[in-house]
Amino acid sequence: MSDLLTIRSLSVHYRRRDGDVKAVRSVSLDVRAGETLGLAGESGCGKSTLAMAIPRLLPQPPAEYAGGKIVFEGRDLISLSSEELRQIRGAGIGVVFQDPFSALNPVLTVGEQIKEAFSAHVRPCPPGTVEDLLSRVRLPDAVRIARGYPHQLSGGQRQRAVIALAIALGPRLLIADEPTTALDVTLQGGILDLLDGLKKEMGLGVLLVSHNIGLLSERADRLAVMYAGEIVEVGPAGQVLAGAFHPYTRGLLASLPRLSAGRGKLPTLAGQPPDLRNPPEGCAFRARCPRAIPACGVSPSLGAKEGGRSVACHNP
Amino acid sequence: MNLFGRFRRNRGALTGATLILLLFIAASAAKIMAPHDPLRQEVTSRLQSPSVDHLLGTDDLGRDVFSRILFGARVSLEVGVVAVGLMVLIGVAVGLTAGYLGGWVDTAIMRLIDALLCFPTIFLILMVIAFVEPDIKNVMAVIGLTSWMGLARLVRGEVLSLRERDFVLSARGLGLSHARVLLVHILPHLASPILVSATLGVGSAILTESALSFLGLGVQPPQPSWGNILTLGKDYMHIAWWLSLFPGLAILFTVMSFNLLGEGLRDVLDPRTQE
Repeated sequence: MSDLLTIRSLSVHYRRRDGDVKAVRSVSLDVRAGETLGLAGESGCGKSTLAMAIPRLLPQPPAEYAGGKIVFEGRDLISLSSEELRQIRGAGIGVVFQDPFSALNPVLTVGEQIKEAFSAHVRPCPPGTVEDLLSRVRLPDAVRIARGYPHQLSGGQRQRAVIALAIALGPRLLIADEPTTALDVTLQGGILDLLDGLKKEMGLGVLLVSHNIGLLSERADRLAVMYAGEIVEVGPAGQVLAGAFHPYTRGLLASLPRLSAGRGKLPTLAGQPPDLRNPPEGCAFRARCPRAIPACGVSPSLGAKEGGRSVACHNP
Repeated sequence: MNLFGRFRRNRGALTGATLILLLFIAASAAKIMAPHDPLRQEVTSRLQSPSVDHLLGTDDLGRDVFSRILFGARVSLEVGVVAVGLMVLIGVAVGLTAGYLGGWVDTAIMRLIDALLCFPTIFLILMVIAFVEPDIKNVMAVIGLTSWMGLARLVRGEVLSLRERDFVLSARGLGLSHARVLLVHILPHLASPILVSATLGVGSAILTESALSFLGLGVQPPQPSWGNILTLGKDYMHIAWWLSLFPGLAILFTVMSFNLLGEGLRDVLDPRTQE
């Protein structure tokens, strides 16, 4: 499996009058073709910023690339011109947004929106293409849905339509930012199955972002855990789940409700995540960490462990 | 309820639309409908009061007022439509640019609009007209060029909120260029405010044209226009009331029809006014 996307030491800041918010701090990450990389982390840890920073969809200003590289299929996206970047968006990298209710334009039919993607890339869209795409995302009655407006679809159908748009031009990388958060729990499985199926069919690399580490551990091949703008642990999902190295990952996993655990309070992590305007010296998790030692005053780097795993911790 | 049903139930919009339709028919069929040549002078029958032969009387040169008003409708509608076309073109382009680009471009454009709005429009128009030849083409151009500011502001405000919507980001993520996003994804949302302003704009453009022609700065005699018929009427008001009354009524009903239609469309198209 080759690296489709290689992120090296990427930092993204939001400019603010009262100090820059350092939302993504020196992140390195790889997504390979044909795998799902799960990106987990709590609200505000920078995971959505990281996801949207890849196709440079963050509004600039206030967002600002403060260093690092995003290499997609051998080209550094940060150094591309806006026209080169435009050609990669959609055709090379597809994006599935969190809220299917707002990601579709209410005044255009689903079919028109798909066709528009083809004409933006000056590609022919022969009759039947739209219906074919809609059936690939398992939407029944593709002809009717292609002619329908977004408000005529249910939430689950809309998210499928959003996915159809994202894969319309045959991208190699799919970025799905909390694709099921806005949906009923009963629909989540279906959408994730669909992403799985498309990954296998098209050999896609998928970056699946979620705050739900339980969901990611089932669906991702590899798991990356983000805390306060940094990646703290990466590894094959099964192994991370079975034995996390980083105390933060362990804390997250311990706070998942389990059927076998019986009644009682769920364990929680004490304290608050740090203010990203002034991230602390050393390990960002130190203040909340049960295993903090004096060495934690120096930032740990993401060190390789056996089995393709790595962790950023002095005292795992 | 669908749009057409709501439109039919809106009495103002329906009345306005009907009157405008009749006016358009009358204007386009003026050649057939007019009982007399609007330019033919008959000094023997000058200043005659309304009769069967001259439905709305004759003017000081014996020309048939009804025929002149019919042909004047052509002028009014032409000026209204062309001036508003120009207004929509400029207003929408400027509003889209300011709203979508934002930043200093937006600030510069909005301050320019504020400055232009400081001048009372009629003085602005008179000032420009003073430098160009008063004819119908210049009147249309001047009205169009001095009336786009309100629409530009309206469009800019809508675009400011539309460009933050997720579907714009989603379209950018699919590799659509800024121009495409603006034209395909944002412009269709503006259809109803633009339609409403354009309809109201036609009424006010017709009123401005009449005022300019009344002052002798618009359509030049002998070509008939409602405004210049009124000018004549002013001189004979004490002996020939029909010379003032009928062109005045024509202006009143036309402008009122466009306002009724415009306001009716606003109610029909605005989702917030639905019951």
